Amino acid sequence: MTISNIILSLVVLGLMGAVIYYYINSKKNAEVVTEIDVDDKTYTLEKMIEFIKRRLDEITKVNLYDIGLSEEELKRRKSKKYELKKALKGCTYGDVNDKKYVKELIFDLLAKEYGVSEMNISKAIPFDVPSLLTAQDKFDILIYIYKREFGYEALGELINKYKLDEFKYIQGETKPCYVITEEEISDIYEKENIVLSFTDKLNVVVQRIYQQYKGYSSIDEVRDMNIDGVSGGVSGLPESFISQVAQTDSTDYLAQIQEHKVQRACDSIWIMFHRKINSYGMFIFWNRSRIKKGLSKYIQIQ
Amino acid sequence: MSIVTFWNNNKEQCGSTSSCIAVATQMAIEHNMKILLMSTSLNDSLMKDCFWHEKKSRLSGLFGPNTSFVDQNGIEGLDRVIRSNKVSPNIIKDYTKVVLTDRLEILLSLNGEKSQYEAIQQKFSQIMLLANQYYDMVIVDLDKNLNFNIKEEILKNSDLIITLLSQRQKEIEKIMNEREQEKIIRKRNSLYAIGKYVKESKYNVKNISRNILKQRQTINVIPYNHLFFEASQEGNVLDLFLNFLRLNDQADENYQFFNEIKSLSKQINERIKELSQILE
Repeated sequence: MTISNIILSLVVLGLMGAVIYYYINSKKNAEVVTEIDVDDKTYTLEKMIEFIKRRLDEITKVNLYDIGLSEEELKRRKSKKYELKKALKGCTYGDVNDKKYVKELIFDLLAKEYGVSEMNISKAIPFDVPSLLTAQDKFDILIYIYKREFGYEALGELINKYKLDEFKYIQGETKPCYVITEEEISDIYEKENIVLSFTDKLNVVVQRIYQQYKGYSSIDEVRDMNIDGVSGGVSGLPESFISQVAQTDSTDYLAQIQEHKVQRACDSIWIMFHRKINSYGMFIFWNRSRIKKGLSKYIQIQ
Repeated sequence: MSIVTFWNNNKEQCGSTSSCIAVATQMAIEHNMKILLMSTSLNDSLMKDCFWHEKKSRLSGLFGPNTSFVDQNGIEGLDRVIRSNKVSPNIIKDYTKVVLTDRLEILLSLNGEKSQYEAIQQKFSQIMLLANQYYDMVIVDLDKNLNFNIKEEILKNSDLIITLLSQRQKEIEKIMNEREQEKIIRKRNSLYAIGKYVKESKYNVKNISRNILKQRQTINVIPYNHLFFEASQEGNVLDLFLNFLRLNDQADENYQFFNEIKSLSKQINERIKELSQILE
């Protein structure tokens, strides 16, 4: 081996060492950012729910022993991880503080990590085009505004202010009943003339994500209110009946069901308020599993 | 279990944050007490810089997912817990940074937006009172930019208030007048200290006591010390104070600096004992 070969080998090794050192240093100094591919659907509710589920899963399942922490820091992080896991479990049992904690975490994740801003929040719920808001959206916004002012009396205040608990006739019914319809909610929303800040909008989106991910679906906020009770899945035919009808090949009946001419069990929720039972015609549980989740731990009060 | 608040009501910088860091460090080293040092500032990294170098390595990014949201320390991390009403004495310790195990921990300041700061400052007093149930002493560095009502609430809930003064005659006279009128703080639970003190000045302790305060009792001073100033930027304050323990030469300015800090700490402990005996 000649001297020039030795020198060349040393130079190559030195260069390799420098490159590796530079690479490790730049990795150390770089911000760790979860990359989010932005496309048209990024800021829709479905994508956001997926993101939240994935991130919370990552956070609760991280192995703290891999990170190389000091004993004190490890103790603290374990404690924080335990608190989060406790909150994620507790919120499913209706603990309002745990619910608030999880919602605040979702808020921070969406605002600081996912990049939700004033520019893109309307892709989740169309706040900027009121005519595109569904009755559910409008109700969620109304409850949020009223809750900010009246706390857990929000629903009661809303019902009392607009006399929603009065007997009324609705189209297609011969007898009067206690019911709150989509049209009434739309009217109230227009009358209230609500102006939402970005924080308000994000809070409404957070609530919608929470109720689908961990909450009690449509009755999540209603359940917390100071009312006498909530009931669901009793508005019409259960899905098991519909599947039985399908087996008898009664096509006419099935067609009626498909055209929503026959009431399904999950087509509305019932609330007991001041000893009156009101139906919320515009809430739909969507399917039986959501009813089960929403009401499995709830006792109906009559 | 006591709350000691350092504050400065002047427009001028008197080194109140540095002073409370120095006192807290000295107390933690020489006394067997669990101390929490709490910052009430916004976007102020002085406390952090005093004890730690900026850590840029993010090993959690290399070896695992980013859990930074849940693992945030300081008031920022505590903010979410506060917003969901889950704060308790035990939970506060999970958000502090340890300087000396079981001796000195720090609740770092908020790094965020002004709107977040305005919301969270409402809870400073509550955090302070909760932390007092867990720690032997809570030392609060009261930021002058806080809302006046919140400042008043924190001062009212403090067992002892250390007012930092500048070495200006007018400022000292003004503070002494306010003290007489008991405008913001009471005589009983307040101590005074001149921050960034320069002994060569005409307004030295002897002259101030004789001519301005017109009393024999000398006022506390915290001399300006360049080693401490440098260490507070390099994360070496703890090492510096451990080295100061070995100083013997009374003519050494570092010895004098350390001695003054010790004297102030001793006064704080004595006054707290007196106040607790009065309450009993």
